[in-house]
Amino acid sequence: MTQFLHPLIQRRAKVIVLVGPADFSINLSLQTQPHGNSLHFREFDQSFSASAWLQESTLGEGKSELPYAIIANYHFLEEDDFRLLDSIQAEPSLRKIPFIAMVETLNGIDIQAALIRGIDDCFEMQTSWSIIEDRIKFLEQFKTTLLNDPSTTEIESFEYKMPRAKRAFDLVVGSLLMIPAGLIIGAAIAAVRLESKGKVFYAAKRVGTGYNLFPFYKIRSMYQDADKRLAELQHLNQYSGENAGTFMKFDNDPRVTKVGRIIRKFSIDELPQLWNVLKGDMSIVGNRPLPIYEAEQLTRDGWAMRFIAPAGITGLWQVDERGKDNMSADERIALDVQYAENYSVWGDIKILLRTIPALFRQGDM
Amino acid sequence: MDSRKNILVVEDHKSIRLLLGNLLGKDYTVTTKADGFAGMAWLTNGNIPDLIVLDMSMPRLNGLEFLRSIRNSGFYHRIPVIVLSGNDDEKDVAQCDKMGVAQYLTKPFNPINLRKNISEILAATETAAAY
Repeated sequence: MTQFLHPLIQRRAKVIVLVGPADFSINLSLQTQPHGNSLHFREFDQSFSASAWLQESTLGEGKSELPYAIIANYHFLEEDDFRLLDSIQAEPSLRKIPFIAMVETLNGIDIQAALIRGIDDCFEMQTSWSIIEDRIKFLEQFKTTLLNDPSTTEIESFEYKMPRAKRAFDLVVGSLLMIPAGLIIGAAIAAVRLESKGKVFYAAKRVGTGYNLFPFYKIRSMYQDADKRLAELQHLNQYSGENAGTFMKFDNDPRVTKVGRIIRKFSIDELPQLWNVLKGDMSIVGNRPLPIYEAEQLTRDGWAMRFIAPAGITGLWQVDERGKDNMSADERIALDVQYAENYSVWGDIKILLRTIPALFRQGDM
Repeated sequence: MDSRKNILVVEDHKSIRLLLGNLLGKDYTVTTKADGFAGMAWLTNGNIPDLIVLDMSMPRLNGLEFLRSIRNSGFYHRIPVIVLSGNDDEKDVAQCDKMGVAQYLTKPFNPINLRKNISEILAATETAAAY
C-alpha cells in the first residue's frame, strides 16, 4: 500500500483506486499524462486490502471520502475470481463508483458477463488517459442519476396486432360482399376482355399495415400498351415544355379504356381488394395502402403513426364530405393518424355506411 | 447457428419507434427506448446490440452525447450506428462523421432501403469479426 498524501489534502482531491500487480500503474499511460493536482492515486496489489479500504471509505462523512473511480487489471480480477467486484456490488454506496478494467486485448472478453459483474467499461492497456478520464466523468454523472431513476427498465411493446373482432368483422363482411361483388366483377371481366387485349387483373406492390409490402389487386382500366399510346399523343399533354413527360394530365387520358372510365368512376376497379381482405393483407376499413414512393414521404415524426393501423379499402378521408380533391395532404394524413389512434368496430361500421354515398360523389377514392 | 441479431432503437417519437419496431421486428430482436438515457441504461444492464438506430434530438441525453459516450467506450465503440435525424444540420453531420456512423439519414426516410442497409452493415460486421 502506498500513501501519497496528507489526509487533509486527500479529502479535497479526487482519488482513483488502482488494483493490479506491482507494475500496473507504470504500464498504464497515466504517469505520462498531465493531469495536474486534482487527481491522486491509491494503489493496491492485493484484492482484500483494496476491498477493506473501500469498505472503510464508505464509513466516512458523506461521499467526499469515496474514490472517484476504480481502475483494475482485468486478469488480476480474473485470478481473484472477481471477489473484489462481488464485495463492491454488495455495498450500495460503492456500486455507483465508475469501475474500469484494463486488459491487454478486448478480444475474448465476455462483455455481457463483465457488465453484469459490475465492470462499467474495459480498455486496452495502451488507451490514452484522456479517453479513460472522459469515460469516467460520464459514468460518474450517469450512474448517480441512473440509480435514482427506475423508469429506464420499462419495456415497450411495439408489435402491431390486428384485433380479433376486427378480423372477424372483415371475414364476415368480406364474404358477404363477395357475392354481389362477384357478379359485378364478372360483368367487368367480360367488358374489359371485349374492349382490349391483356390480363383483366393486376397487382401493384403497396405499403400496408406496419409498413408491410403486399400485392394490391385491381381490375385493369388502362390499355396494355399505355406507354406507346402516350408517346403518340404527347402533343395533347396539358403540361408542356420541361414538365412534359414527368407529369401527364390529359382531358380524356387516352391511356384509360372506355370501360376503364366507368369502372373507375364507381370504384369497381377496387373490388378485387376484397380478396386482399379475405387473405389478411387488408381490412375493409383502414388507412389506404400507398404506393411505395408516396409511403416513404410519410415516415416523419407523428405522421408515421398512420402505418400503425390496418390498411383498408375505405377509410376516414374517403368518406369525408369534402371529397379527396378538396382536402390537403396534411388533412388526409391527420385523418389517417386519427384513425390509427382511435378505431373501433362501431366506428368502422359507421365509416362503411358512409362509404355508400361517397361512392357516388365526384372524384377518385 | 444463426440466432437473431439485436437492434436498439433510440428515438423520442412514439410513431417512429413503433414503425421501426414493426419494420425490423420480423427479422431482428428490436428494443426501443424513448431517450438517450434509457438507451444508455439498457446498455449498462448487460445488453450488447449488434446495431443502433439513433435519433439526434432527444430529451435527457441527446443523440450526439449518446454517440460520444459509445465511441469513448471500450465495450461499445465497435457497434455500428445509423443516425435517423429530423434535420441535416451540417454541424451535426460533421460531428457524427467525426465520431463514426455507418449512415446519416434524415426523415422522411425510405424504410425499405433502411432495412436493406441494416442487413448489409450487419453482414459486413460479421465478416470483419471473423478475421
